[in-house]
Amino acid sequence: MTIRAANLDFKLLFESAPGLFLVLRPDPDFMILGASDAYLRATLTEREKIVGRGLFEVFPDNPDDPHATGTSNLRSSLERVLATKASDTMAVQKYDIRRPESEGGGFEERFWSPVNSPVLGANGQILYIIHRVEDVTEWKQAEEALRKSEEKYRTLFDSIDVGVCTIEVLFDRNDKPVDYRFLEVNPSFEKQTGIQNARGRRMREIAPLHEEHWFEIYGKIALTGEPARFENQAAQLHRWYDVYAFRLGEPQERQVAIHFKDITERKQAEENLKNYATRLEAVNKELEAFSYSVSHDLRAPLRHVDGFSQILLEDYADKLDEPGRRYLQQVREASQQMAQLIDDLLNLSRVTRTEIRREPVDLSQIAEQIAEGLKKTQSGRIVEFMIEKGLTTEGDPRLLRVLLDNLFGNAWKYTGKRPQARIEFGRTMRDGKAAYFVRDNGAGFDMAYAHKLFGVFQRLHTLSEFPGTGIGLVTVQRIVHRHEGQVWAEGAVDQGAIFYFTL
Amino acid sequence: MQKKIIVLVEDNPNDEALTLRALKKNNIANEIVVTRDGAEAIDFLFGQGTHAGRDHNQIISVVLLDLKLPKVDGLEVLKKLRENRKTKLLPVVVMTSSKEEQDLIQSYSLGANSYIRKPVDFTQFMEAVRQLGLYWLVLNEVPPQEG
Repeated sequence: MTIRAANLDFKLLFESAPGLFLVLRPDPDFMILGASDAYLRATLTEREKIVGRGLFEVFPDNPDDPHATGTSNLRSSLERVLATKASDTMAVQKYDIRRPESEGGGFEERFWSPVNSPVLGANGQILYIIHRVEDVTEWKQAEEALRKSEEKYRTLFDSIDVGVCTIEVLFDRNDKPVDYRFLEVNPSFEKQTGIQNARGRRMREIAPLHEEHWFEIYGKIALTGEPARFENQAAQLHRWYDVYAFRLGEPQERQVAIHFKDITERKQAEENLKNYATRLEAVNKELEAFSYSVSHDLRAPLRHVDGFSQILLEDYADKLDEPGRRYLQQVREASQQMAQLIDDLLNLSRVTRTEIRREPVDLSQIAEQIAEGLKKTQSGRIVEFMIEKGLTTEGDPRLLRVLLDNLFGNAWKYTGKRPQARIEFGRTMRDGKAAYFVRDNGAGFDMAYAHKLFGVFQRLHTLSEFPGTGIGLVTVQRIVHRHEGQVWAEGAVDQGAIFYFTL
Repeated sequence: MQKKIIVLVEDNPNDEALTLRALKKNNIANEIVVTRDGAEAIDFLFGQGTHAGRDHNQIISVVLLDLKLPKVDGLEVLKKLRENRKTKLLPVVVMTSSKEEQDLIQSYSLGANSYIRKPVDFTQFMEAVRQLGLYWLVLNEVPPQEG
């Protein structure tokens, strides 16, 4: 019994077939004669709308795609079929389809894998061409996404300025790590290590004197899977590295990935810093010893000069005439002056050397104490002290005392010729900042020489007018600067002076 | 009758001369024993070595101790004095030109009774010695000393 083929509804069968088929008339405009349902669905078309019309009229190229090759490639393939009467398979082709107006219009991206086959009649002429496609859009888009992702990661890998490489650790019979081979390196690797063409080479071959610990560490990571982060030296390469390494892939692959950064410069800087710190300490200690011996050894001879001059004056007064006695007196005064100088200089150097403490300091209280002390030295003088109460600040109490000592001492000294001296201490605002001041109504100074006030050994008065060494204000300035403040003065001849300072 | 003496430990002859003069000018009549370095000072104070057999009837009113001494340093002398039962209570006045805080602290830490800075000004020095004499020799009660 034969199956009666004529009973099959081939039209229905064709149109329902699970494949994308288009039947074309074998002439230059390739009129569409039929299409499977699946095809219509895939191309977002309807049978009535396309049957009877030319292929390329129904499916034109996407006008927005300047590189569209769909129509030309398809046409070439179909013409080849016509010419050769044989099937023609096309490569994956981008051929965008029109979206119906009801769904927004425009074109959608599509990729197809087409095969065009001729259907031959009894005489060998082509009756129809079957255009069969597979919609590979999703596959193509996935492939593209993968490619982009791969490209992104490669760019990332290549661009990082940290050295990255993967190695395979090589073990001996007893599972002891003895060497490793470079598998992959990024461009930064060469820059960070100075090793060229590392891929495929073994470390022992590149640097035979490479330290054992590198192999041990990588071996351990490969065996245990525990990542490690450390800093270490690679002496043969003359570098220090900051390394992070972890196992990659399957344990039996013994592969380790390494991120490393050349920190030689930083290590060098650290080393230098340490050296400088040590040298600085040594210098400071030397300076201390020097100051100490100055403080002791210079004073002793001065004392002797002064002492014996005095003895001369006392014991040989009758053998000396007036000028003689005066000379001796001058000798004594000169040695006093020098002693004062030594003290002031030592104080100055101490200001620079000592560690500055930061504590709350009651300036008013210190000022009061200094004022009391001054009054005691010359109980006959009438001096009015106006000290603002409650002035507290943060700073080194010893240095601030020296500062006020100097400023008050100066004020006391330069008001020495005033029958009614007045010395004020307070706080005011200058340029939006709180500034302390010491004001006196003494001899003052010419503002024209204000810039010389703070110079070492600089004085604006002669010794005969007022005693002094010219170091006091330098000391004041240094103390203020160590407290990151400013000091300045205003004054006028015979009208007193005001010294301001900020802290 | 026990003599009250002053022990001056001073290496510099000029300082020695000035100190002795100052003491004399201030009518301090006590005998003054001068030792010129740390080792000699220890020898005398303990009655040993070069000063073995010194008269132990002498009562030492005060030791004027300079810090910068050859052989044995002033602070070392002080330390040794305080370590020994016989000399632990001896009044010691450190007299030095040093203004360094560390010397001040060290001296007191090691048991000095007083610390005086030798002023450069001789008149001030005279005044300091006068006050020193008045205090340590007249006012101050001397602790017991073993003969």
